[in-house]
Amino acid sequence: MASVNRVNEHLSMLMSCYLDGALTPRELDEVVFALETDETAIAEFRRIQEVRRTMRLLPLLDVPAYLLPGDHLNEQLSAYLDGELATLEMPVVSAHLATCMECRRDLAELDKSRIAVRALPGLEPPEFLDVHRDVKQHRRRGLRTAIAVASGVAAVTLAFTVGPLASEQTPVAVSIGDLQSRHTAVASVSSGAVAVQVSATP
Amino acid sequence: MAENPTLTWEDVAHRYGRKIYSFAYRLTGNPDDAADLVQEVLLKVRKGLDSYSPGSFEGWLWRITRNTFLDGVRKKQRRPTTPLPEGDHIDIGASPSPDEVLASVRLSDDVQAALLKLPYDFREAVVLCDVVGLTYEEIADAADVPVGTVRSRIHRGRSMLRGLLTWPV
Ligand SMILES: [Zn+2]
Repeated sequence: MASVNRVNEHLSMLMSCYLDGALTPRELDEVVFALETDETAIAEFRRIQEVRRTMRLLPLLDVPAYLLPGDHLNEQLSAYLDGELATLEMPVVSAHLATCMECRRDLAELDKSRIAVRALPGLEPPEFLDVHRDVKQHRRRGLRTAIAVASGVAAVTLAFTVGPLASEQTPVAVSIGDLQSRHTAVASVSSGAVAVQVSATP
Repeated sequence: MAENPTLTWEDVAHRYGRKIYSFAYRLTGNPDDAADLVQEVLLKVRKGLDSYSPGSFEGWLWRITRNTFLDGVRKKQRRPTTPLPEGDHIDIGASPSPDEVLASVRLSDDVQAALLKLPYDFREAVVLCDVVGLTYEEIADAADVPVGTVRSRIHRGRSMLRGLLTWPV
């Protein structure tokens, strides 16, 4: 590195900005003049240029696919609740749930429906429950009936906030221990949603 | 990039995911941190997109990204960084020539190591400028500092990198 002729710091900074197109017209003149008249300035310019080029050659890295939004979860939700999800699918589903409010809501609704069905075997859905109530129309065909059955059950221990469904209905007695044991997987994913730990397999 | 009221969070994820991921990766050298950041930022974008008021979308997004990143750093109180995995994921079909790409793979470990030696402010400014591709104004907006500060940080960052990197003869 040449220590004899050094370009002053200000000019050096202007040359850095120049490469990024971030100069005022006056500053531009200053740089152009230096580059036309000063060998040392040219050498300095080349060095800055080289550093900048090196940084810009750093590739953008691919985001692990499980972090990007895929299709919404459908069948996987049941499998997820049943603990029957393939190991490979687990990080994908967890990551999706962490960022997708709709699927989390669906999961909660599906879950409530199961509790209801299990707690009240053989019971027909009461007529006052509108089957189509509060279910997003654009998808979830298959879940509708189950969810409608469930809407009479209050969310008991679901770790995430469930939508407007839960509040005003009559609670049904459900063993919390039973609930929790069935939902350890859910709880570990949903605690705060932000804190989901997913291993970063490349 | 101007305001875009019809942008969904999925759009944001696909359009900016790699940049957000690369931002964190280059700042920490740690893929897990980078993945955490992408996840958190997308969640915030999802929650905030409705309330996003017209203005610079880039500025908004990168302010969220940067603040989320810094919060994460504070919480974790800096665990040691891990070395880059073998090579990087290369974007085949991007504009650099194959030779340049190969050279960049060989170089990237050194460059990453050098980056990690910069003071945070310089590292962040250089990464936002050269890796993410923001303008000085956007960086100033994201980091909430004057443009003059951005100019000086990028310049000083590059000067330090020049000293840290060993150049082929
Ligand atoms: Zn979803």
